Amino acid sequence: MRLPAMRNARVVLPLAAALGLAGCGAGTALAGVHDAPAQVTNQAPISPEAAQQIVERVITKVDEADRARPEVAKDLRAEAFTGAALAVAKASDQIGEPAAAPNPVSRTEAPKVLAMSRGTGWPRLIVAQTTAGDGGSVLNLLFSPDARTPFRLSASATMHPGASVSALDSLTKGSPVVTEGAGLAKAPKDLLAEYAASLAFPKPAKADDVDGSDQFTVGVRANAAAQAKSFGKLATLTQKHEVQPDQTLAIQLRGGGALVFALLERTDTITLKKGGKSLTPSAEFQRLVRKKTLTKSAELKSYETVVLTVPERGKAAVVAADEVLFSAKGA
Amino acid sequence: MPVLASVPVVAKRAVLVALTAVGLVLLVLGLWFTAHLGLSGTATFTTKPASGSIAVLEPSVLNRVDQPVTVTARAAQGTQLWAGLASPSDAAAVVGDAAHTSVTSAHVNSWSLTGKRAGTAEALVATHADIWHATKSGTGTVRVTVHQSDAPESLVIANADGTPAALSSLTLTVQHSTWVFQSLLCALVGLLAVAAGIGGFWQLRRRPTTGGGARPDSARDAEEVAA
Repeated sequence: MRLPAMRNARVVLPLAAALGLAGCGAGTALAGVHDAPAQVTNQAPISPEAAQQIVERVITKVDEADRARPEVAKDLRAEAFTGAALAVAKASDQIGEPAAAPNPVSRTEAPKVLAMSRGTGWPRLIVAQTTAGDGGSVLNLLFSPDARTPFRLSASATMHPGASVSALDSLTKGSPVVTEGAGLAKAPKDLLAEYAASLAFPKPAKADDVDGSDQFTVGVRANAAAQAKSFGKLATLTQKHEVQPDQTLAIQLRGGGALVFALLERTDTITLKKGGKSLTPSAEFQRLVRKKTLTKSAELKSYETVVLTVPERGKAAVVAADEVLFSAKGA
Repeated sequence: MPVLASVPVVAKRAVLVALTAVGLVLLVLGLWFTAHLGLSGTATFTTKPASGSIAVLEPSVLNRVDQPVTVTARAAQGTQLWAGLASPSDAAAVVGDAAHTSVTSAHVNSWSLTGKRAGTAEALVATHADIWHATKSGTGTVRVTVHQSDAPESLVIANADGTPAALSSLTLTVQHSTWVFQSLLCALVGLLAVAAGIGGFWQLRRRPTTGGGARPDSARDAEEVAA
């Protein structure tokens, strides 16, 4: 009787094992156990609600930093600002008074998240709109360079009256970060260099790819011309604008084009001519350079935060801009 | 068994052995699952992560069911614990090369969680980073319920200051009431199969054969009468 039993076992055991294994697979499916879903990598990395909370937190910190006493303001600024916005915020320390740029976060309404960068990579961007105390709209760019560093305000500029920004992708979908300039009329780096050269005084270069009819561009050119005219034969004025390449960040608009945030450094150089013995600058300038008269030259440095919309084809336009003086020297 | 009347006895026995064996397995499994899952259908998996490392529970243990999963981490009394949920790539980026224990699988046979140690750096978890979908803190114990709406997610557990926590236990529980019925059904089916198998053997025993078992019952009866 042992032999048949052994024969049975040789047939039954593999059968039972096969059934068992098959049963395990079927069992997990029946029990509702499945593989973990794959991570989606072509959408916004955080929810719109989370982005809104982040923006509100950053804006609140910026408010605190702006209102803080000088001895604590430095630390608060380091927590709230980065990049161009930090440079602009520090300008108030360097010239010994609050920055001339409109406070981007003095607002009357809750900030509105306009766009968020797409994908799981870094850096990540959030574009938000705030309303200034005077009712003007302010475009804010929040930046996080890596997973360990929280978002901070990277750039902020007041929108020109009547200016508009084309639609961005939904907050759920996210908007790609523009790094090179593919699909744009011109790469942001080249475009900004062209724009900066077109602002130079007294010899501006021609800017074929930037529409220079906006309030800021017209104002910068007009002010330089008026100032030079006021100096008459006593002094000359030269004005140079330099792009700070590390501070240029861009995010793609829906359907093509990009929204570009950039920082320019403007240098105004006033040189007395031989015929001019001395120059009495304005009261503000006197306070900044701590001199009542200039006998040789003066140099003023300012930050210009500009936001441009760059289409797929056609001319870019400056939609928001602010400037703040951060250095003044005279002799 | 009219259908099996023409089947050789050896084959009948093989079928009955298989039926009884499968039934027995199902019965034991069903009872075993019922005993562990309880009437609420709660599966509990436990481990003790290596001391001095950050614990990271991967989607392969958090997001394999459609039900919420609750993770409870315990440490010495008074320890300030912190837990944060993030997408897997963000969690990996924030933990980086820091020494951590990555919990990657749950085993039903031992009701335990298993994982592997990775990283060597003495880095802190950036608890203030903007990657966390949700965070929770607790003293001595921190409990996080992972809903599956944002799956896949990873759960990072550390001390409140971001340093590695000395966890005494890490427990993952999933409640699925259907599992109770499935376990009981499994046991019932197993019981029926065992009963059918034993019943079949009983019937074969009552009709002994001369071996081979190829002859029809009518012929066997005639032979027995002649003897």
